[in-house]
Amino acid sequence: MAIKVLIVDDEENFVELLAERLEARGFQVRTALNGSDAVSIIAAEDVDVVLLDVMMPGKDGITTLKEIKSVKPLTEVIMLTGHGTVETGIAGMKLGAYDYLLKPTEIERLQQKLNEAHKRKEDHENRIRQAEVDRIVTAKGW
Amino acid sequence: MKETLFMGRITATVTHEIKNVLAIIRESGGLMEDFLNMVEGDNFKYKDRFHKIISNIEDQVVRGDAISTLLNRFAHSPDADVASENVPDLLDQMIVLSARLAKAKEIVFKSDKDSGVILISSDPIRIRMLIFQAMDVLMNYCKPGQTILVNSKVNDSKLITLEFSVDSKTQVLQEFEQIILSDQWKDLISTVESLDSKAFINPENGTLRLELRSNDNR
Repeated sequence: MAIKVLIVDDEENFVELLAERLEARGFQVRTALNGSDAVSIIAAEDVDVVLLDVMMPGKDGITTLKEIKSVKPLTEVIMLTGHGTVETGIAGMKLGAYDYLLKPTEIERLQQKLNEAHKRKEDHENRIRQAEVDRIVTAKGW
Repeated sequence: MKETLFMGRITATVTHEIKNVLAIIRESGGLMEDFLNMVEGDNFKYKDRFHKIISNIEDQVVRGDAISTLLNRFAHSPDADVASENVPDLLDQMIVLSARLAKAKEIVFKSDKDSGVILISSDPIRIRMLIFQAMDVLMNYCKPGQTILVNSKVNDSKLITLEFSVDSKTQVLQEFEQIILSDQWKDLISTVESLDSKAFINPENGTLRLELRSNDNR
Protein backbone atom coordinates (compact mmCIF):
# COMPACT_ATOMS: atom_id res chain seq x y z
CA MET A 1 0.00 0.00 0.00
CA ALA A 2 1.25 3.48 -0.87
CA ILE A 3 2.80 5.54 1.91
CA LYS A 4 0.61 8.55 2.66
CA VAL A 5 2.67 11.73 2.82
CA LEU A 6 1.58 15.24 3.71
CA ILE A 7 3.86 18.06 2.51
CA VAL A 8 3.50 21.26 4.53
CA ASP A 9 5.28 24.37 3.22
CA ASP A 10 4.21 27.92 2.39
CA GLU A 11 6.18 27.80 -0.90
CA GLU A 12 3.38 26.75 -3.23
CA ASN A 13 5.62 26.00 -6.22
CA PHE A 14 7.87 23.82 -4.10
CA VAL A 15 4.93 21.90 -2.67
CA GLU A 16 3.39 21.25 -6.10
CA LEU A 17 6.64 20.14 -7.72
CA LEU A 18 7.65 17.90 -4.84
CA ALA A 19 4.17 16.35 -4.65
CA GLU A 20 4.32 15.44 -8.34
CA ARG A 21 7.79 13.94 -8.00
CA LEU A 22 6.84 11.87 -4.96
CA GLU A 23 3.61 10.67 -6.62
CA ALA A 24 5.69 9.52 -9.59
CA ARG A 25 7.66 7.45 -7.07
CA GLY A 26 4.58 5.73 -5.70
CA PHE A 27 3.76 7.90 -2.67
CA GLN A 28 0.22 9.09 -2.04
CA VAL A 29 0.61 12.81 -1.44
CA ARG A 30 -1.50 15.53 0.18
CA THR A 31 -0.37 19.11 0.52
CA ALA A 32 -0.96 22.04 2.86
CA LEU A 33 0.38 25.58 2.69
CA ASN A 34 0.20 26.30 6.42
CA GLY A 35 0.25 24.61 9.80
CA SER A 36 -3.46 25.00 10.56
CA ASP A 37 -4.53 23.29 7.33
CA ALA A 38 -1.99 20.54 7.98
CA VAL A 39 -3.40 19.79 11.44
CA SER A 40 -6.97 19.74 10.03
CA ILE A 41 -5.96 17.25 7.33
CA ILE A 42 -4.16 15.03 9.83
CA ALA A 43 -7.16 15.07 12.20
CA ALA A 44 -9.52 14.05 9.37
CA GLU A 45 -7.39 11.69 7.31
CA ASP A 46 -4.87 8.93 7.65
CA VAL A 47 -1.36 10.29 7.10
CA ASP A 48 1.80 8.22 7.58
CA VAL A 49 4.55 10.82 7.30
CA VAL A 50 4.46 14.62 7.37
CA LEU A 51 7.17 16.64 5.66
CA LEU A 52 7.03 19.85 7.63
CA ASP A 53 8.80 23.13 6.86
CA VAL A 54 9.98 24.75 10.09
CA MET A 55 9.71 28.36 8.98
CA MET A 56 6.19 29.21 7.92
CA PRO A 57 4.10 32.32 8.40
CA GLY A 58 1.38 31.96 11.03
CA LYS A 59 1.72 28.69 12.89
CA ASP A 60 5.42 27.79 12.82
CA GLY A 61 6.88 24.32 12.38
CA ILE A 62 7.40 23.57 16.08
CA THR A 63 3.85 24.61 17.05
CA THR A 64 2.46 22.59 14.15
CA LEU A 65 4.56 19.59 15.18
CA LYS A 66 3.23 19.73 18.75
CA GLU A 67 -0.36 19.87 17.48
CA ILE A 68 0.22 17.00 15.04
CA LYS A 69 1.68 14.87 17.84
CA SER A 70 -1.24 15.76 20.09
CA VAL A 71 -3.84 14.82 17.43
CA LYS A 72 -2.08 11.73 15.98
CA PRO A 73 0.93 10.78 18.10
CA LEU A 74 2.01 7.95 15.79
CA THR A 75 2.16 10.09 12.66
CA GLU A 76 5.83 10.56 11.84
CA VAL A 77 7.16 14.01 11.06
CA ILE A 78 10.27 14.98 9.12
CA MET A 79 11.26 18.60 9.64
CA LEU A 80 12.44 20.51 6.57
CA THR A 81 14.87 23.25 7.49
CA GLY A 82 17.13 25.88 6.00
CA HIS A 83 20.70 25.96 7.34
CA GLY A 84 19.88 28.77 9.75
CA THR A 85 17.12 26.75 11.34
CA VAL A 86 18.92 23.46 11.98
CA GLU A 87 18.46 24.11 15.70
CA THR A 88 14.71 24.10 15.11
CA GLY A 89 15.02 20.78 13.30
CA ILE A 90 16.88 19.33 16.28
CA ALA A 91 14.37 20.88 18.70
CA GLY A 92 11.67 19.16 16.61
CA MET A 93 13.41 15.80 17.02
CA LYS A 94 13.39 16.33 20.79
CA LEU A 95 9.63 16.82 20.51
CA GLY A 96 9.17 13.55 18.64
CA ALA A 97 9.97 14.35 14.99
CA TYR A 98 11.62 11.43 13.19
CA ASP A 99 14.42 13.48 11.64
CA TYR A 100 15.18 16.69 9.83
CA LEU A 101 16.38 17.41 6.30
CA LEU A 102 18.10 20.46 4.88
CA LYS A 103 16.65 22.36 1.96
CA PRO A 104 17.26 21.89 -0.95
CA THR A 105 16.96 18.14 -0.42
CA GLU A 106 17.90 15.44 -2.91
CA ILE A 107 14.86 13.37 -3.90
CA GLU A 108 16.65 10.06 -3.27
CA ARG A 109 17.56 11.10 0.28
CA LEU A 110 14.04 12.35 0.91
CA GLN A 111 12.55 9.13 -0.43
CA GLN A 112 14.82 7.12 1.86
CA LYS A 113 13.85 9.19 4.93
CA LEU A 114 10.14 8.88 4.12
CA ASN A 115 10.47 5.10 3.85
CA GLU A 116 12.40 4.90 7.12
CA ALA A 117 9.89 7.12 8.93
CA HIS A 118 7.02 5.01 7.61
CA LYS A 119 8.79 1.84 8.77
CA ARG A 120 9.10 3.30 12.27
CA LYS A 121 5.39 4.14 12.29
CA GLU A 122 4.48 0.63 11.12
CA ASP A 123 6.74 -0.98 13.75
CA HIS A 124 5.24 1.22 16.44
CA GLU A 125 1.66 0.35 15.38
CA ASN A 126 2.54 -3.35 15.29
CA ARG A 127 3.98 -3.20 18.81
CA ILE A 128 0.81 -1.50 20.06
CA ARG A 129 -1.37 -4.15 18.35
CA GLN A 130 0.75 -6.93 19.88
CA ALA A 131 0.50 -5.31 23.32
CA GLU A 132 -3.30 -5.11 22.93
CA VAL A 133 -3.45 -8.80 21.96
CA ASP A 134 -1.22 -9.74 24.93
CA ARG A 135 -3.41 -7.68 27.28
CA ILE A 136 -6.58 -9.39 26.05
CA VAL A 137 -5.00 -12.85 26.23
CA THR A 138 -3.79 -12.18 29.78
CA ALA A 139 -7.14 -10.72 30.87
CA LYS A 140 -9.07 -13.68 29.48
CA GLY A 141 -6.60 -16.15 30.92
CA TRP A 142 -6.13 -17.85 27.51
CA MET B 1 27.44 46.13 17.33
CA LYS B 2 23.77 46.71 16.70
CA GLU B 3 24.68 47.57 13.10
CA THR B 4 26.55 44.31 12.49
CA LEU B 5 23.75 42.33 14.12
CA PHE B 6 21.30 44.07 11.79
CA MET B 7 23.43 43.30 8.71
CA GLY B 8 23.90 39.72 9.83
CA ARG B 9 20.24 39.12 10.55
CA ILE B 10 19.08 40.45 7.19
CA THR B 11 21.77 38.49 5.33
CA ALA B 12 20.93 35.27 7.20
CA THR B 13 17.23 35.73 6.41
CA VAL B 14 18.00 36.22 2.73
CA THR B 15 20.18 33.10 2.59
CA HIS B 16 17.21 31.18 4.00
CA GLU B 17 15.06 32.55 1.19
CA ILE B 18 17.74 31.63 -1.37
CA LYS B 19 17.49 28.05 -0.08
CA ASN B 20 13.78 28.09 -0.92
CA VAL B 21 14.58 29.37 -4.42
CA LEU B 22 17.21 26.65 -4.89
CA ALA B 23 14.77 24.01 -3.64
CA ILE B 24 12.23 25.05 -6.29
CA ILE B 25 14.89 25.10 -9.03
CA ARG B 26 16.11 21.64 -7.94
CA GLU B 27 12.59 20.16 -7.95
CA SER B 28 11.81 21.80 -11.32
CA GLY B 29 14.94 20.29 -12.87
CA GLY B 30 14.20 17.01 -11.14
CA LEU B 31 10.65 16.90 -12.48
CA MET B 32 11.91 17.59 -16.01
CA GLU B 33 14.32 14.70 -15.59
CA ASP B 34 11.49 12.46 -14.33
CA PHE B 35 9.51 13.26 -17.49
CA LEU B 36 12.56 12.77 -19.67
CA ASN B 37 13.17 9.35 -18.16
CA MET B 38 9.64 8.38 -19.21
CA VAL B 39 10.57 8.88 -22.87
CA GLU B 40 11.50 5.49 -24.24
CA GLY B 41 14.26 4.82 -26.73
CA ASP B 42 15.08 7.51 -29.31
CA ASN B 43 11.63 9.07 -29.40
CA PHE B 44 13.01 12.44 -28.33
CA LYS B 45 15.83 13.80 -30.44
CA TYR B 46 17.18 16.17 -27.78
CA LYS B 47 17.09 13.71 -24.88
CA ASP B 48 20.86 13.73 -24.25
CA ARG B 49 21.07 17.49 -24.51
CA PHE B 50 18.21 17.88 -22.05
CA HIS B 51 19.93 15.49 -19.64
CA LYS B 52 23.07 17.63 -19.90
CA ILE B 53 21.11 20.83 -19.27
CA ILE B 54 19.35 19.30 -16.26
CA SER B 55 22.70 18.11 -14.96
CA ASN B 56 24.02 21.69 -15.28
CA ILE B 57 21.00 22.96 -13.33
CA GLU B 58 21.71 20.45 -10.55
CA ASP B 59 25.41 21.40 -10.48
CA GLN B 60 24.50 25.06 -10.07
CA VAL B 61 22.01 24.24 -7.31
CA VAL B 62 24.78 22.41 -5.45
CA ARG B 63 27.11 25.38 -6.01
CA GLY B 64 24.50 27.91 -4.90
CA ASP B 65 23.64 25.78 -1.88
CA ALA B 66 27.28 25.64 -0.76
CA ILE B 67 27.75 29.41 -1.15
CA SER B 68 24.46 30.14 0.57
CA THR B 69 25.36 27.85 3.50
CA LEU B 70 28.72 29.57 4.02
CA LEU B 71 27.16 33.01 3.65
CA ASN B 72 24.62 32.05 6.29
CA ARG B 73 27.39 31.03 8.70
CA PHE B 74 29.17 34.28 7.93
CA ALA B 75 25.97 36.23 8.58
CA HIS B 76 25.59 34.55 11.96
CA SER B 77 29.11 35.56 13.04
CA PRO B 78 27.93 38.69 14.93
CA ASP B 79 25.55 36.56 17.04
CA ALA B 80 28.19 36.13 19.79
CA ASP B 81 31.04 38.34 21.03
CA VAL B 82 33.26 35.30 21.43
CA ALA B 83 32.85 31.93 19.75
CA SER B 84 34.80 28.71 19.51
CA GLU B 85 35.29 27.82 15.84
CA ASN B 86 37.35 25.50 13.68
CA VAL B 87 40.15 27.46 11.97
CA PRO B 88 40.24 25.34 8.75
CA ASP B 89 36.45 25.86 8.44
CA LEU B 90 36.87 29.61 8.86
CA LEU B 91 39.55 29.56 6.22
CA ASP B 92 37.42 27.59 3.75
CA GLN B 93 34.52 29.92 4.47
CA MET B 94 36.56 33.02 3.63
CA ILE B 95 38.14 31.37 0.56
CA VAL B 96 34.74 30.48 -0.89
CA LEU B 97 33.15 33.85 -0.05
CA SER B 98 36.12 35.72 -1.54
CA ALA B 99 36.34 33.49 -4.62
CA ARG B 100 34.90 36.12 -6.92
CA LEU B 101 37.47 38.73 -5.80
CA ALA B 102 40.31 36.23 -6.16
CA LYS B 103 39.07 35.20 -9.59
CA ALA B 104 39.06 38.81 -10.73
CA LYS B 105 42.75 39.00 -9.75
CA GLU B 106 43.40 35.54 -11.25
CA ILE B 107 44.70 34.32 -7.90
CA VAL B 108 43.81 30.92 -6.45
CA PHE B 109 43.74 30.16 -2.71
CA LYS B 110 44.05 26.52 -1.68
CA SER B 111 43.71 25.36 1.89
CA ASP B 112 45.47 22.36 3.35
CA LYS B 113 42.76 19.72 3.69
CA ASP B 114 44.70 17.66 6.24
CA SER B 115 44.76 20.22 9.04
CA GLY B 116 42.22 18.41 11.18
CA VAL B 117 40.22 20.30 13.80
CA ILE B 118 41.93 23.41 15.22
CA LEU B 119 39.62 25.24 17.58
CA ILE B 120 40.03 28.91 18.32
CA SER B 121 38.02 30.97 20.75
CA SER B 122 37.91 34.54 19.49
CA ASP B 123 35.82 37.44 18.22
CA PRO B 124 34.01 35.83 15.25
CA ILE B 125 33.91 39.01 13.16
CA ARG B 126 37.50 40.10 13.78
CA ILE B 127 38.97 36.69 13.06
CA ARG B 128 37.13 36.55 9.73
CA MET B 129 38.18 40.09 8.94
CA LEU B 130 41.80 39.22 9.69
CA ILE B 131 41.78 36.19 7.40
CA PHE B 132 40.18 38.27 4.68
CA GLN B 133 42.69 41.12 5.16
CA ALA B 134 45.55 38.65 4.73
CA MET B 135 43.95 37.28 1.56
CA ASP B 136 43.19 40.78 0.29
CA VAL B 137 46.74 42.03 0.74
CA LEU B 138 48.05 38.95 -1.11
CA MET B 139 45.52 39.42 -3.90
CA ASN B 140 46.88 42.93 -4.40
CA TYR B 141 50.56 42.03 -4.27
CA CYS B 142 50.68 38.68 -6.02
CA LYS B 143 50.77 38.21 -9.77
CA PRO B 144 47.86 36.87 -11.84
CA GLY B 145 48.07 33.10 -12.19
CA GLN B 146 49.70 32.55 -8.81
CA THR B 147 48.38 30.03 -6.32
CA ILE B 148 48.51 30.67 -2.58
CA LEU B 149 48.57 27.65 -0.31
CA VAL B 150 47.18 28.16 3.15
CA ASN B 151 48.27 25.89 5.95
CA SER B 152 46.83 25.96 9.45
CA LYS B 153 48.40 24.23 12.44
CA VAL B 154 48.59 24.42 16.21
CA ASN B 155 51.75 23.91 18.28
CA ASP B 156 52.24 22.46 21.78
CA SER B 157 51.69 25.87 23.41
CA LYS B 158 48.35 26.10 21.58
CA LEU B 159 49.61 28.89 19.34
CA ILE B 160 47.66 28.66 16.09
CA THR B 161 49.52 29.47 12.89
CA LEU B 162 47.97 30.32 9.55
CA GLU B 163 50.58 30.47 6.85
CA PHE B 164 49.86 31.81 3.36
CA SER B 165 52.55 30.64 0.99
CA VAL B 166 52.92 31.77 -2.63
CA ASP B 167 53.76 28.97 -5.05
CA SER B 168 56.23 30.71 -7.39
CA LYS B 169 58.23 32.59 -4.78
CA THR B 170 60.92 34.10 -6.98
CA GLN B 171 58.41 36.41 -8.60
CA VAL B 172 57.07 37.92 -5.40
CA LEU B 173 60.09 39.14 -3.45
CA GLN B 174 59.91 42.73 -4.59
CA GLU B 175 56.16 42.99 -4.24
CA PHE B 176 56.24 41.45 -0.77
CA GLU B 177 58.70 44.08 0.42
CA GLN B 178 56.11 46.71 -0.52
CA ILE B 179 53.37 45.10 1.56
CA ILE B 180 54.80 46.29 4.89
CA LEU B 181 54.62 49.90 3.71
CA SER B 182 50.99 49.64 2.59
CA ASP B 183 47.90 50.98 4.36
CA GLN B 184 46.35 47.52 3.92
CA TRP B 185 49.11 46.02 6.06
CA LYS B 186 48.60 48.71 8.72
CA ASP B 187 44.90 47.84 8.83
CA LEU B 188 45.76 44.15 9.12
CA ILE B 189 48.19 44.87 11.99
CA SER B 190 45.48 46.85 13.75
CA THR B 191 43.09 43.87 13.52
CA VAL B 192 45.70 41.30 14.52
CA GLU B 193 46.72 43.35 17.57
CA SER B 194 43.09 43.68 18.64
CA LEU B 195 43.07 39.86 18.74
CA ASP B 196 46.27 39.79 20.82
CA SER B 197 47.93 37.99 17.93
CA LYS B 198 50.78 38.64 15.49
CA ALA B 199 51.36 38.88 11.73
CA PHE B 200 54.60 38.45 9.83
CA ILE B 201 55.60 38.86 6.21
CA ASN B 202 58.64 37.14 4.81
CA PRO B 203 59.64 38.41 1.35
CA GLU B 204 62.44 35.85 1.08
CA ASN B 205 60.24 32.80 1.15
CA GLY B 206 57.01 34.46 -0.03
CA THR B 207 54.95 33.82 3.06
CA LEU B 208 52.50 35.72 5.20
CA ARG B 209 52.07 34.19 8.64
CA LEU B 210 49.40 34.86 11.25
CA GLU B 211 50.04 33.67 14.79
CA LEU B 212 46.71 33.52 16.53
CA ARG B 213 46.02 33.27 20.22
CA SER B 214 42.84 31.66 21.37
CA ASN B 215 40.94 33.60 24.05
CA ASP B 216 41.14 30.59 26.33
CA ASN B 217 44.95 30.52 26.00
CA ARG B 218 45.83 34.11 26.87
